[in-house]
Amino acid sequence: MTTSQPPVDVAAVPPAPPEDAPRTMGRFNIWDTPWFNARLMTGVGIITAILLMGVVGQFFWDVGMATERDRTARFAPPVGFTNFRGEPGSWAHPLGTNNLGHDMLAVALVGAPNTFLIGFIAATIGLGVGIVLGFTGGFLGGWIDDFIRLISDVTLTIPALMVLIVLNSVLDRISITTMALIIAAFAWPRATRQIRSQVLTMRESGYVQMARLSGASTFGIMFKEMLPNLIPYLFASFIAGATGAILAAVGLETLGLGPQNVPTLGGTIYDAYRGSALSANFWWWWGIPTVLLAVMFVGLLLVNLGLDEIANPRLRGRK
Amino acid sequence: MGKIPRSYLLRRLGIFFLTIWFAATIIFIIPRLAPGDPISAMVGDMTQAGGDVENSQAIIEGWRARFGLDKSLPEQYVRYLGNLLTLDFGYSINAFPTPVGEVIARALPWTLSLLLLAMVLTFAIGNFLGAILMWRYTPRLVKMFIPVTMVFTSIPSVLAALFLLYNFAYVLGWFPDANAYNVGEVVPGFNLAFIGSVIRHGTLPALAIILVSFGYWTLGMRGMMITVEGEDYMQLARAKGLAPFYVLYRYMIRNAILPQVTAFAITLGTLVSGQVLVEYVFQYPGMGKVIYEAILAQDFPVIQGASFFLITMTALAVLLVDLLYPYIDPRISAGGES
Amino acid sequence: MTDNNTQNRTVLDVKDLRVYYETPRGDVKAVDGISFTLREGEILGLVGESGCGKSTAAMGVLQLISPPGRIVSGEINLDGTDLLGLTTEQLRQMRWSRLALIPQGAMNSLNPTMKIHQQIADVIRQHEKAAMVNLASKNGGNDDGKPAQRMSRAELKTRILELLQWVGLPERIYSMYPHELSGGMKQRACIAMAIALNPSVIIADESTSALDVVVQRVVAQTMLKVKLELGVSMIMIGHDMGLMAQMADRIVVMYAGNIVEIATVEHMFKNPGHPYTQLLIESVPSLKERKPLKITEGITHDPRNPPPGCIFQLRCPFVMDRCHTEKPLRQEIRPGQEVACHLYEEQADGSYIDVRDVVEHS
Repeated sequence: MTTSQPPVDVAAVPPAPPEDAPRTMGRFNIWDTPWFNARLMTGVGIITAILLMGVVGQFFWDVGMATERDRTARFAPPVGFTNFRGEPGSWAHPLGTNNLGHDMLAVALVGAPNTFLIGFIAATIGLGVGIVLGFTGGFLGGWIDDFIRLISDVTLTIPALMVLIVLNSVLDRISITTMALIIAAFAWPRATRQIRSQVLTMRESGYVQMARLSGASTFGIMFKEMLPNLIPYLFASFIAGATGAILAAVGLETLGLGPQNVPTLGGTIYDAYRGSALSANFWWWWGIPTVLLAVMFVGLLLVNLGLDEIANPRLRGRK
Repeated sequence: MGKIPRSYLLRRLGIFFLTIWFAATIIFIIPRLAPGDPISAMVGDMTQAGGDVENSQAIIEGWRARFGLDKSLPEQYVRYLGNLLTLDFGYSINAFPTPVGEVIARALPWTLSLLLLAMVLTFAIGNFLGAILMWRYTPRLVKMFIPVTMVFTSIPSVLAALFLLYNFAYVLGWFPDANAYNVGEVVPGFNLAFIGSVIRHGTLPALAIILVSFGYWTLGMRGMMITVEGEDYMQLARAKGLAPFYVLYRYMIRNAILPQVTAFAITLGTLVSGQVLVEYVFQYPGMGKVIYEAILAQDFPVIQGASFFLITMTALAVLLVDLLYPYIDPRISAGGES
Repeated sequence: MTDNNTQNRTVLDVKDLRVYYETPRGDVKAVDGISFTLREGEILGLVGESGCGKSTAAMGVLQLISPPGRIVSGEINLDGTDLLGLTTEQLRQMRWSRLALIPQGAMNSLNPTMKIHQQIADVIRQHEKAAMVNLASKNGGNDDGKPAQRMSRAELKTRILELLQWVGLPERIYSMYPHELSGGMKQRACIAMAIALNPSVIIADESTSALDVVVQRVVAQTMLKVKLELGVSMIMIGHDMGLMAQMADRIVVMYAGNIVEIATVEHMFKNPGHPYTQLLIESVPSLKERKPLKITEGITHDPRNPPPGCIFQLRCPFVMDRCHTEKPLRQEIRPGQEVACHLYEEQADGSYIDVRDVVEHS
């Protein structure tokens, strides 16, 4: 692999750094190529597609059909299939209808963004709390850190679903926002743990020591020195939090404990299960939300893996 | 390999008791957030949901006396905690006068066995696959095959349960669709028919949990193996000319598994939650089914008792894993807490 | 230390070894054709600045190069066996029993989840047959052809305790974990491990670099003991010239993947031949005289494209026209000193003169 070159001039200076070197050394640099890795892009693509579907879809499809009953077309199968009564699917309801005649496509268009919404709200709150507590504990140390660690350990151990079940069974009506808030109460420990451990590592690193020595204020160090380098971890934490929150939300919904005023994917599954859709072979009733949810989770997983590759350079380029 | 340092033990026990107390308190407070007398409200909800409740007056009176609802709130709290210590969760409204404890006790063995099986298999399979994914001597074919098996990773177990139930129980009919064994046909006990029936009924629920969970460990272990590979002691292990299998086990896996064990304790809560939903889908007679039916019937004592019990179980499992850790990581046992 | 000429048997013979690292923009020539020999019972020092390829050379001999590095060509003869021609299995069996390593930074070189005795035991058990043969031949060659017996647990324990005691470690180390040991103790444990099978050659890669001076002395003395009492030949890699002066018999000087000089310790310090060696010697601070520090830059050429001709031409204060085009061969300018430099010209009678002397005189 040797390239031929003219004889080196004795007085030559050392070769200039190659063009694709990052512009700053040592610090996190947003133009680093790992951001454009395959997994991350695919995952983001999936999530964006579903979100867009929800936002834009309502202009192309009557989402009111998700809650209106179409008594003429109950148990209608998707286009191309026939149901147990021998009725074929029609383009009026391309994805079929449920037992009450609600259009499944409309349900998907409304339910999917709702699910993401719950996840993102809960994850944002969790991340916010995580940043505050993680930095406080990691940076200040001492008994504050011990205390934060204690309550986050305790909260982590408790299976969130159990408490959520108790809570939701007592509350009469739940809105999406309420559910997101409740779930967020269990989302913060993971983010706190992750951020705290990163802060601990960075606290001992060279540039932070330098900042401290040069008299920078604590907040200054946190925001100007540490936070920018934490960005991949913050994203990863956010996505992990969203995944967990959606998981909890789906769990509650499939048990019948979710919001009743809007169609949700998990709630649809609950109705289907109760309506014996499995044994009676109304596969589209529970199948469409299931597949949609599965795709969403795969998307979130890919984003998570992609972020992992950025945060841990050793994982790049291996398969 | 070593003993557990006193400070480590105390801290872990402290977290355990704190967790249980915290959970108990939350479960105590929640129903009392609603205005009014919780018992009447419960019975009232039940009436709303399912029609007349027999002996509703007797229930209300009995409960009032039991839990001293006529007493002040702090007193109720103390009595409540005392009752919990003796595992007295009250009575099921739906199946009065059956105590909640009895309902739980009937369901518990099924949940525990399924949980143990799922836990052990998930961790073992997941980490093993992750380890050989990284090993230089694993055949390429195997390495390419493993990611295929991970297609279910990260999907909620409840969805996998639905998928498996539909495809393998209803469509293909290979597996039964409910219960833990063929009730009525097979007699429980140490006989082959029973055990076979249990295995048949338990396969799909176990699969639903394992298939979605092991991928996480595979990915994690692969990452840990990469880290271990770059350590100095690996160079020396190679220089010593040790047998490849031995190096894989004693030098690589043995060191890479340590953070995985710590991480495992954290995921136990999710595992239990997932299992509850899986049991519900498969009508498996464990805690999942108990909770689901209690939700339907608005049977609050059962909901609360079962939830609290599951939380305690999870906390106990976490404690056990934490106590196990010093035995495999000598840096904890011989030389203080890290 | 100077008594090395009575046993002239060559134990390790390296010929034209090349180790390259593949990068997207060309191969880095970490080791670019080095040849040297190691004689029985001597300590050969291998010195050079950071990045000169000395560690890579050692790893090459040990066959521990992993991608993106690879051994391009060369011959490595250990006691007559060409290591590069062995199968993987043969190589694995030969490891440690004939060629051992005392690693750099023993801090992390020991498995944290294994007790010390287990780490020594596993290599003994692995190579038991070979170890028996080695021990037998060292003790007067009484190999009567009987198959080697597996050591009993008691025998193994005795042997390990023996090894620990020999390097000066207390018995309690036997059951301890690496993190419970200090740096010097860990290093000596590694030495005990290295001599366990009585190998012919031990390579010590910067074994004392991470230690403080006091501990360094103890470890260095232990290594001398290995040479003197066990007769093991060693290659010591380092950059501490002062330590080399006390430990080594001969020293190999490397620069940018090439050997520029091989000399006995005396010649190295009294009459360093190669201009680079001279720079190295002069950079050692002296207790006796004050002298200005000669600032030398690091390796200035791109390791992917070494200049044609002498490898040192870009930094040499005595560079001539010839150096840009013709690569100097290594010549023995006097007994016990080989230099690869155009400054030394062979005369008709076989002796060598330094052209700088000639220039000065004329």
